[in-house]
Amino acid sequence: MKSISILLLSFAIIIMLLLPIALAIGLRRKYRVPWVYFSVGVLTFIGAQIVHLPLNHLFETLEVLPDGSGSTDNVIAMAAILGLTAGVTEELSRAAGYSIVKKARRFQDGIMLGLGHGGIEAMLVAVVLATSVSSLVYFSEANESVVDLLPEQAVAIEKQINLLTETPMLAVAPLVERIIALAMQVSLSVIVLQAFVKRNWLYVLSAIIIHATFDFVAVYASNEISNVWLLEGILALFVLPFVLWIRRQRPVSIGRKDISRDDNGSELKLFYITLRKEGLYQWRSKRAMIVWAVFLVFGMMSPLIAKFTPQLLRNLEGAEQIAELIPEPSTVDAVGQFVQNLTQFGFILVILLGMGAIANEKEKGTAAMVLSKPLPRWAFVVSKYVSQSIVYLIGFLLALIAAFYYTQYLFGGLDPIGFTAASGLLLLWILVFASVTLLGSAIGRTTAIAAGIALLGSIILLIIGVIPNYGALAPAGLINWAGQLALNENGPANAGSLVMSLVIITIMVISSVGVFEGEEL
Amino acid sequence: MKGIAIRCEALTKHFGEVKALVALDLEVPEGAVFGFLGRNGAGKTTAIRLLTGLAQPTSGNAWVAGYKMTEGNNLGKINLGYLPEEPSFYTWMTPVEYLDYIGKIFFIESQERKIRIEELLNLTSLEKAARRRIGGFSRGMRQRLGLAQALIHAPKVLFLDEPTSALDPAGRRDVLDLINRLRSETTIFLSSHILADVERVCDSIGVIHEGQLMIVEDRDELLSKYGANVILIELDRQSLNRSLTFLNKLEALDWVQNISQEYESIRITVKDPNLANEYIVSLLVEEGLVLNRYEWVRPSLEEVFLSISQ
Repeated sequence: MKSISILLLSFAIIIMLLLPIALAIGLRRKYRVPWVYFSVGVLTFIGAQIVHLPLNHLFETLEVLPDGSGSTDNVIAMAAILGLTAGVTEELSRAAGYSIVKKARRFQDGIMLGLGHGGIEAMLVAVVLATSVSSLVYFSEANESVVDLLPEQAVAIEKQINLLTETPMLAVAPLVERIIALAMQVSLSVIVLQAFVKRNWLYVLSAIIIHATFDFVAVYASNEISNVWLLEGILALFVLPFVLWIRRQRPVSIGRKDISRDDNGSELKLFYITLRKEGLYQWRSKRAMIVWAVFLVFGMMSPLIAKFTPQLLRNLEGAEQIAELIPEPSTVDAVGQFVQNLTQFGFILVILLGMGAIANEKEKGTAAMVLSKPLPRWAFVVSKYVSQSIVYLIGFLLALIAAFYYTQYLFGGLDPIGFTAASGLLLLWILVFASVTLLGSAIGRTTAIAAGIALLGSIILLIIGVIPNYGALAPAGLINWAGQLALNENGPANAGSLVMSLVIITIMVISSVGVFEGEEL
Repeated sequence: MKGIAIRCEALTKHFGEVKALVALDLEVPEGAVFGFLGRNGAGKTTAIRLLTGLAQPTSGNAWVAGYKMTEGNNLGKINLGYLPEEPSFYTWMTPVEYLDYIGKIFFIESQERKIRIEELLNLTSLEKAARRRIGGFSRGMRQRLGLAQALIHAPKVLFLDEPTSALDPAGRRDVLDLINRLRSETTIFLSSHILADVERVCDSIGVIHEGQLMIVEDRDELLSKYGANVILIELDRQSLNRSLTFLNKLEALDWVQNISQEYESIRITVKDPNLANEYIVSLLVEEGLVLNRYEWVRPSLEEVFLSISQ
């Protein structure tokens, strides 16, 4: 596959991840919309899918939902049913969101909710896209005899690779499609909001119809029209009137002067000031030292344990037979130990060190002291996450150096680049749990409650990791990939789990800010 | 003409069923030292938390130095300083570091910050502890550091929540003196349950009871209304068991508002001091009661509440 299309696909993925956030930041600066509405939007999307996906599956098993092959009638029926299930579940979910969040009644609140709802959709599409990019790259490079594929799969992949090689610009199509869909989602959120503002449920009904029609057009047209750009053009035309309507309705901005102080970068400057304070805290409270010492020890111990466990056993009376059964340790064992230690103990360490970050300041009253000053709450929350991340990053560097040195010395045959990349993935995995802990700390009134929430969230994440099929996309997928990379093993990259981890971190940090902003100190 | 430093419009806060603050309407002019008087749990702290933007009202609005504080705007916080009842600090910092951090949040330039911190440490007599960890500070020291951090940016409005209640008499005097010194520079909103403190420094007083503002008045007016309407009588031990008829007779009078008795002391709140002087003394003689003490005294907060609510 040509590198240009990989580059374009990566670009598309990055924009899909950043666009909803960037728009939300812009909206927030203009209208001071609470971040929590973004999180509510994320929840309304996820809530809708929890009903939507099994519903589609049910229709499929009941054979109500045609497979879309063959006659035009079949395609029309399929497009209509898919559109309706999406419309009904998502719009009702949005309505449920507004009925719970009673304060979200301004026009701009609806837009924020829409950005969350459509934003998480775009981010999840980015995850799927990243997954397919990794497999495309892998299959286009791998020797076919190595790859175990069904013949149809091989044909489909080859077709896709050829298509992308011929017209690399096609790689941007999913991004264009997502931008249009995001505009649609924002419009729909604003329309459903009108049902609450004007106390007229017809708005929910019309949102369902518009959503169903949009999806119908998308599915039907994609079956009939082979030109991607024409298809996107039609969908863009569909959304255009709604976008224009939103532009006309938009309220007056609260004005720049009212937001920032002396200069434009004042909020960023305040973020930097708190970040420095948090850094000092990590140092003074010895947290940084503890993390670094623990990771350094893990880095050193992992290859040592791998090397000397059989020897220790041999010296133990009665255990000689077991020692015989253990094969001669190798680099694989050393790396295995390293990955295992970092992930198993790392995530507990992260929860222990992160649980009090916000909760403790709420409990003690130090947060109320500082936040009665003009310090934005987002800076307070995000600086905590960033300072922790920096501490873990340094810890990982120490572990990496130690583990690499000892493994190389005891076993040899380790690729420095692969091993570094693997450590990076493990760091990302740890940071996912740090972000879950941050949210726990933002929600919990006390450190104990925060710890409970963080632990619960982490366990849910770990459980998701072992669900067949979907599990590979969970952050746990990073661990396997890291193992592969460290040992230079052949296998597809798991960019899906990488993007998924970034998505989870982003949503967790935004939700932490959102939750904390709404709290009273 | 002076502007309005603090304004509340129907400011209301409910915590579930509890009505912590009910439709507070209040205006404090610039430069005033306003005393917010009420018992513990009357709604004083709730009002301050709403005014400083730490909590959001159930309904109503509040402005500080012209900035609306009730819609999550951080900007208004530039104009205010806040000392909570129990100030709490990062114990791993020193006062200099903490004040430096707070100064940075207000974008005070490095050179100016240094000078300002030194001034404040002098003002609050914390020079000697300037480089010690806050973790080991006494309550009084933390209170003083709390004042310093509230003042670092010379705020237009200063909120002090029970600033004296945790202090010993000397500390209390220091804080009250400090407030007196700040009088010309800033508007002060001081909450307290101690009438004597409020009386000493405030030039206008509001009384809050169970979330409701009972009265807002100039200090002198308030004191003239309620200031000297309590007679304290201390009976001799022997007279004590003969006092019942005396008390019953008093209770029957319509200008007597309240009578409370604790051992030999009797406190009588009256509406008309002149009438009371004449009548009570003659009644005492009539009943043949022996006095150890007869004095006009300041009413306690309880008595002010009772007078106001009647």
